[in-house]
Formats: sequence, C-alpha cells, structure tokens
Amino acid sequence: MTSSGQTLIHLDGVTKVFFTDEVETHALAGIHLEIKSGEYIAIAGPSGCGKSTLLSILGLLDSPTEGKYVLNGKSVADLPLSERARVRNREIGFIFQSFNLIGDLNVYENVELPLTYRGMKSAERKERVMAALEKVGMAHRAKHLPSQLSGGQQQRVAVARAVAGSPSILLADEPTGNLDSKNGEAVMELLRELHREGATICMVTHDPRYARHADRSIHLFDGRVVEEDGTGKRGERELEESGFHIEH
Amino acid sequence: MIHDLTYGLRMLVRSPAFTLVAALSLALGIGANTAIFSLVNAVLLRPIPVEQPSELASIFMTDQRNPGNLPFSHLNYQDVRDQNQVFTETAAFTFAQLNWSTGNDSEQIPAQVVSGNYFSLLGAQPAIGRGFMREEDVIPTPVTVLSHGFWQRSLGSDPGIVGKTLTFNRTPFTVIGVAPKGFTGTLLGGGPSIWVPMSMHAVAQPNFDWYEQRRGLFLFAFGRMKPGVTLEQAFPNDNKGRGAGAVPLLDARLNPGGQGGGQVVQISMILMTVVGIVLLIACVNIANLMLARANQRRKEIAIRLALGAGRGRLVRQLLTESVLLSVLGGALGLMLAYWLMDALLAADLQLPVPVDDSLTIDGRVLTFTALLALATGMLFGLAPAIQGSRPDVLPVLKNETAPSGTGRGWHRFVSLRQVLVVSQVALSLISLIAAGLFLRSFRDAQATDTGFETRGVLVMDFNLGREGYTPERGQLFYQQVVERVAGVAGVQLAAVAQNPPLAGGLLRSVLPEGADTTTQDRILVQVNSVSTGYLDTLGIPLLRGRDFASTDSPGAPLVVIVNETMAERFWPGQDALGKRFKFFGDADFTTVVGVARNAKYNGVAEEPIPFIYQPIRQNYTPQAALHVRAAGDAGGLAATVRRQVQEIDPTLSVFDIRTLETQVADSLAPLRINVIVLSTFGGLALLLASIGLYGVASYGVGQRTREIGVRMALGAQPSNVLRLVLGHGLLLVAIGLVAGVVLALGLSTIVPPDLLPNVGARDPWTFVATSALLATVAVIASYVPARRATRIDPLIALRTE
Ligand SMILES: Nc1ncnc2c1ncn2[C@@H]1O[C@H](COP(=O)(O)OP(=O)(O)OP(=O)(O)O)[C@@H](O)[C@H]1O
Ligand SMILES: [Mg+2]
Repeated sequence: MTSSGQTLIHLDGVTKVFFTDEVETHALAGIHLEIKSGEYIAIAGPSGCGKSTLLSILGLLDSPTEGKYVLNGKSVADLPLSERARVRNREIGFIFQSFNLIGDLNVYENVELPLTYRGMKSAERKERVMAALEKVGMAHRAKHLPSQLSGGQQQRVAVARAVAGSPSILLADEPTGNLDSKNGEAVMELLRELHREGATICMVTHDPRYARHADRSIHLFDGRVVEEDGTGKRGERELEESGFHIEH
Repeated sequence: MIHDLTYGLRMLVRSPAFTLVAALSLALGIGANTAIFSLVNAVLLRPIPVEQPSELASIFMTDQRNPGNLPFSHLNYQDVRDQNQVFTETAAFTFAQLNWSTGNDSEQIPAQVVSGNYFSLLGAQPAIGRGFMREEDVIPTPVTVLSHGFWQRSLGSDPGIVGKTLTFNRTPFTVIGVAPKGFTGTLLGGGPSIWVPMSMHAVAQPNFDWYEQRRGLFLFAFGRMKPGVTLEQAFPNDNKGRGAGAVPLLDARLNPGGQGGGQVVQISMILMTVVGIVLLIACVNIANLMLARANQRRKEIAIRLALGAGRGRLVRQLLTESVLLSVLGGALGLMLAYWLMDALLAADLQLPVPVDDSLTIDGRVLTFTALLALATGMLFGLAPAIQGSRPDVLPVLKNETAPSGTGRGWHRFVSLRQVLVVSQVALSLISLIAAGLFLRSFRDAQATDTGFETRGVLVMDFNLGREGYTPERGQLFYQQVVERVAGVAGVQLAAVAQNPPLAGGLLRSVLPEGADTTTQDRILVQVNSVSTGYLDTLGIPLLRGRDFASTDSPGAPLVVIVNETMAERFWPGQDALGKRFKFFGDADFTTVVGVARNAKYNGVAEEPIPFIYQPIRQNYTPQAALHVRAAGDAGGLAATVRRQVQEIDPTLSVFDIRTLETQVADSLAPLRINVIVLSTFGGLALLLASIGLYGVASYGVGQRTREIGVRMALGAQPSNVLRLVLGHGLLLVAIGLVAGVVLALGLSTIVPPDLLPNVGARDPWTFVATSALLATVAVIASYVPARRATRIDPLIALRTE
C-alpha cells in the first residue's frame, strides 16, 4: 500500500500563532511535512496539539504565521482571499466531523454545491454528482433532505460532496467523531476504498484503529511532529531531539 | 418579577443591535401615531368648555327637496325659539368677516354674529369680563367678546382690554369680555376671532338683507333641553316638506351636514389610517425580530426547559422583555412625537382648522401612547414568546444540521417571518405610491397652464360694503382706483373684478334666446364682474369681438364676454358674437360682444367650464379685487399701490396684498398638505421597512453563519456569498412589491377621481418609480449584512459546536 507518486504538498517550517487577549498560543511550531500524491496519511495526537490547525492550513482555510506551503508545485501560503477560495474549490475536498451539510438543500444539491462555485455546466455537474453519490451508495436518496438521513448517511453524502469535484486531496477532521462505531467503520471503509482508487487523503483521528488504515501516521504534540510511522526520517530525529526514545 | 426584569434588561443590553432596531422601529411607529393622535385629539376629541354639553342639542331645518341638515332663516328661527316645548332656551349664530382697523392698517377677521343669550345658554364663563346681555340683543349695542386666541395673538394678552374699543367695519365696538381658553364656539374647528350681538348685524353684515326673508337660510341654532326631555320627543319631523330636527350638539360637531363626516373628520380619518399603516409596519418589524431572536435562543430555552423551568415562567420572561422594549420604544416615540408636532406646526400646513394653541400632549394623548406601546409589545411579544417557549425539541437535541430557520419547498414560502417581510414591503409600497401620486398630481397642477399670465401681477382685496359705500360711490371709486394705479411708474395695467383668479364666482342661470325656457334649458354658468382692461391685465387673450368700453354703462344695452367653452356649448358651430340670452330673473336680454380664451376659474385642476365676464359698471359689487400688472417685479410695487389706493380713501381697508403667483400657490394648499403629510409618512414607512429588511437580513446572516462558513470552505467566492444573502432578501422584496402593486391597484378603484386630478390613482410612472425606490433601498438595507457575511471565517466549518 505504499505509494510512490509525486510530491503533492510540501510544508516547510510552518508555524501558527494565535493572539488572544495578550496570550500567544503557538498552535503549530515549525512543521515540515511532505505528502505525495496517492498517499493516505493519518494525523494523531492529544487534544489541543494542533491537528485541526494543521488541517486548516493544509486546506487553505487559514494561512500560516510563518513558513512555506507548496501545493501542486505552487506556493499558496499568502494567496489573496478569492484565489484561496478558488484553490479550495478545485484542489481540496473537505470532510468534517459534524458533516456540515446544508439543511436547506437536498442531498443532490449539497453534493452539487462546490461544482456550482466552479461554474461547471449543469450536465457535467449532474454526471459528477450522480457518480459521486453512486460511489458512496447514496444515489437513491438524492432528493432527501439532510434532516431525513442518519448520521452515517449524512457523512457519506459529505464524502460524496468532497470527491465530486475530483480534488487533489481529501482533508478529513475526525470524520467518525460524531458516529457510532458501526457507522464509523463504514465511513472508514469508504475512505480506504477511495484511497485504493488513487485518492490522496489526509485524516485527523484520535482512534489508533483508524490510524492504522493509513500508509503513514503523524503524531503531533504541542504543535510539533513527534513521530512519523512509515517513511520519513525527519520525524524520528525530532522525536529523539525531544528526548523520546525510538526502538529500531 | 424583579428577577425577570433585571434578566430582561440584561438580555436587551447584551444584544444592542436588536434592542436598537426594535426600539427605533417602535419609536417611529408610536411617535407618528402620537403626533397625529394629538392632532385629532386637539381638533375632535377635546371637550368643549361649556356646562353640561350632553344637554345641548343642535337644531336644524329639514327640507324634502334639499337633503341634509339645513340652517334656519331668521324668521323661522324665531318661530322655533318661541313655540318649541322641549328646550329651556335656544340660541343662534351666523358667520361674518369684519374689517378690523388698527391705525393705518387693517385686517379681515372671522366673526360670529350671535343671539344675546349665546354665552349664558352655553354656560361658557368668560376668562375676563362678561358675555352678552339680553338687552344687547334687542337694542343695537356695539359690544364684542374676543376669543382667547385672538386676545393672545393679536392683542398681546392685554389684561386691561375690557372697556377698550376696537374698530370693526368702521364702527367702534367696546370689548366686554374674553371667552374662556379653548372655547371656539359650538362648531368643530378654529372658531371665530370675535363675537358680536345679532342686534349689530347691519354693521357686521352690510348689504345682507335676508333677516326678514324666509328664503335666506343662514342661522345655526342650538338649545338646552328641559330636564327629562329626550331628543325623540324633541323634534318629530313635521309636514309640508319642511320641519325641524335636533341632534346632540356633540354629534353635530363631528357631522355638521348630517350626511357623513365633515372635512375635518375625513382628513383625520385619512391621517390616522396612514399612521396606522406606519405602526403596522413597525409592529411587523418587532414581530420579525422577536421571532428571529426566539429562534436564536432556542438552545437557551431548551436548556431552561430541560432544567425544569415551566412554560408559564418562560413566557412571562419573554413577555417581560418585550414589554421592557415597548416602554423604551414608547418613551423614544413620545420624544419623537414632540419633535414631529413642532415640525407639523413649523411646516405651516394651512390645515383647514388652526390648531396651534391646542396642539399639546395631554393626559389623553399620554394614555393613548402608553396603551399603544403596551399593546404592540404584548401583541408582538406574545406569539414569538409562545412559539419560542415550545422549541422543536428534536432538531435542537439532534444538532445534526445547521439550524437555518428556514424550511424547504413550500415551507420556505409560508414561513411566518417571510410573510411578515413581504407584507411590510407591500404596505410601505402602498404608502409610497400614495405619496408619489399626490406628489405627481401636485407637480402637474403647478405646471398647468392657468390660462392667465401669473407673473408680474399684484392682487389685493377690499370690501366697500363694510366701509359704508353706496353703489354710486363704489363705481366712482373703482374708476378712480384703476386710473390712479395705472399711472404709477412701473405699472402697465390695472383692473378691478369681483373675484380674483381661482376664487370662483357666482353661478347664474342662463336662458339662451330662442331656446325653450323650461327648466331644461336653464344652465348654470359662473360669472365674474370685471372692469375694462381686466383681460389684458391678466393676459387672457380676447379671441374675437371687443373688450368692455366706457359706453357699456348702466343705462346701455347689457353686454358680456364669454369664454370658448361657453360659446361652443351654447352656440355650437355658430358665431357666438351678437348672440343673446337672459339671466334668470332679468327682464332684458344680454348680448355677447366678445369671446375670450379659456382659463382656470376655481382651481388649477379644473376641466374647461363655461364662463361669463360682465362689465362691473353694469353689475355693481361691493366686494372686489384690484389687479395690477407690473412692468417688472410686482412685489416691489405693493407699498406704492397701497398708498395710491389710500390717497383716494385714507380709511379704506385693503387686505391681502399678494402676487398672483402666491394666489395660485395658495389654491394648491390642500394638495400640498396631502403631499407633505403623505410624503412624511411614506418616508417613515420606507425607513421602517428598510430597518425591517436590514434586521431580517442581519439575523438571517447571524443564523446562517455556519452554513455560509461551510459554503466558503467549499470554495464559495465572496461574490457568491453576497448573491446568496442579497438574493434571499430580494426575492422577498420582489414578492412584496408585486403584492403591493396588486393591492394599490385594488385600492385605486375606491379613490374618488377628483382626489388626484390629472394623474389618477393608477399612474404607471408613479408605480414604477416608487417600486424602484423601494427596491433600491431594499438592496442597500440587505447589502450591509451581506457584506458582513462575506467576511465570515470559513474556519467555523471545522469547529464542532
Ligand atoms: N482561533 C483560535 N484562536 C486562539 N487559539 C486557537 C484558535 N484555534 C485553535 N487555537 C488553539 O490552538 C491550539 C491547537 O488547536 P487545535 O484546534 O488545532 O487542536 P486539535 O489538535 O485539533 O484538538 P482537538 O483534538 O481537541 O480537536 C489549541 O491550544 C487551541 O486552543
Ligand atoms: Mg480538532
């Protein structure tokens, strides 16, 4: 299951500092990260260690305080707002812990939404939406409202929404956090399937069982990468510098 | 309770935007209503300062041929006074205009000529001095009672006024008293400046010789009923087609003709309706905000319910908040009302009823405002309170979808809040259309060709009858004044006429020569007596024939000049010159010697009507207006012309020296009042509606923050977000506009056609312009929250609530 694609994402010395009421929070402190096309990465770590912050920077929802971010060979660290929206729309597929389907729109329209922001023709949109819904097994519920679906079904629709636009990478922040274990397992299986078909995935998870699905796990602690399973030596070095021991 | 109050206050302080918008809406609605109500209160509702007003009845004459409640002739009144069995006493009055001379200057003042028992019967205790005595009614005694307002305004509240003399119609009258404050007679409205006893009618009403004729109906009567007598017994309508009737005086005030409300009542109704709409829009604002807020607080309320709070307690809590809001809005509204009333007075609206000294906020107005504030607070707090205290448990607990407050499909269109916005837009469009129609009508009227040249003409009035002139002396005076004034440097032409332009004129029956002289051929035509050169002075072209000449003297054949419409209507397809007709009652024929171009005679908006000019030398009138055409600026000549007139007669009273332009503008005063009042309230409605739209859009954005954040995370551009928020609001506005147009078209069918001359109630231009205005304001009102929506941080999507 190792992948050997091209470098899709390159983070170099990325820091993120939040300033609130005279308190500086160093949510990320010098992150170096490389993600290759077709990789499946899990980010793990204790609460408050900066997982979501990292994901938000990867997804261009936020920009780093310092450091370089190259996506698909293009520096995206300080893009203007509307350009970032464009990159988000084309390159990133989000899967959120709380699904974030739009209550006013039915399943079909929810999946269609990112495509409409791309100005895609309606015929092509329809094709892609239906393909995505087929993939997650929700095509028969296209006309339903989110409130008429179970949590697991909603998350599958959210996955369809994320993949419909064929983004470069799927970013998932605890996609099973609001689901029971059975539904959670189903969503994880779906992600694994997408990965087999070639999708690049970066997922934040607490659950070591799910982290094992990934090619590689990154452990964060206090805004730093403290451990990388799989490939990559830099993580090990940092881990040792932080006084941790690694069994070889 | 104290707890509820402090908690409510804290909630209001914690959401200042909500509080501000809600309180401001309420303040505008309540302020407008309070101001108008205080006007209505001053005019209609304030009690008259007389003894036992419920015992008083207005007595009138009825006539089968003329519907309505008619005044009495003097002789008939005397019969009723002496023969009736039901009144302890009756009194009567009529109206007159008097010349009040003060040194070199003089003024026309409204007066009532009253029976000697007028004040004693009413039990109106004069503020100083006394009322009339019975003898003063029998033996002509030049005494007068002043109105309180006149005493204050024109005599500086002189405390020693009793015993002094004032000169009315060149006759010195001794002041015997000042009427009580607020007493304006028994009729609705401003009332006279002075009262004089009926024994002085020959001075007060010169050339008015109807006191001994039963055909002259001019006396208004009232009486005080004997104890135990009811009105049913009082006046059974009797036979011969004529009878007498009586209604309670207080009812008669509101309905003087007995045929539906008088003008004052109608205007009051229109005003109250318009401000009622304004309040309705304000209430819709509050209801909308309350609903939005209740929605926003569903979680708080659900938690409180879960913690065991009873629904009753919650409703009370929410109600306390809305009542607090009402109190705030009511207080602000009261301040606004004071300001609006000042503005109303300052605008010099020329209301049909002067209200200046009675327009105040009294206990009744305060009660009205307080009740209004409480009622709106309860009404528009109650529904949301009940709805809010019964949250839909499932979605709140499930926390599955972003609560957007809107449903789906048909649900989306019938959501209460959206219906409210739509109705608000529709209501304000209606009030804007009303204002727009009147504005356009007014503009049109201003631009209308009156048929005469308004620029450079000076007009002034005098009444030779009140100065004791005989017809012979009067004719001589007219001749002299025209000659003298025409000789003044800067004056081109001068002429006298019975009526100044747009002031109407007497109607006389005309019987064309050769036509069947049955009633069918008697047509009423308006006439004006004018001197030679009148048409030239006013710039009315003489199309055919000749002007009057000095040979058209009293003994010579009777001649007239007619207008085009008269010529066409009486002698279609023929030459009117040389045609003859008789005025009803005349022995001799009158010959047409000229045809003049049509003009406006009664009002700017008038349709062409037949009109006759008679030479003043053949038709003397004691009341006349002098018209002066200046070479340049007319206003600058006023003093010189007045001096010339007074050189002929130093004691002659000359009134109202004005330019013809002013005269035309004054004739548009009623239309102007409508324009000002309706524009004010139309603007208020627009303001309220935009506050409402802003509020709804703002709350919508607040509620949909998460949804918008998600959309942005998915790649929505700021322009997408802008369109989303604006589109949502503008769809509602569009529906509201359509509804408003449909309603306005419906209402237009009940608008009397003469209310909006030239324009009509369906003027497409006005409909389009007001709709565009409202749409523009709507865009601006929802643009601000829409802009804010584009700045929502998409990071919110990552947060689990
Ligand atoms: N907008 C913000 N302003 C201030 N501090 C923030 C902000 N967002 C995150 N932080 C802080 O940054 C640190 C990292 O937060 P982050 O949300 O990335 O943690 P996390 O690893 O996702 O935790 P969890 O597993 O609980 O979701 C925390 O200390 C948090 O308090
Ligand atoms: Mg997190």
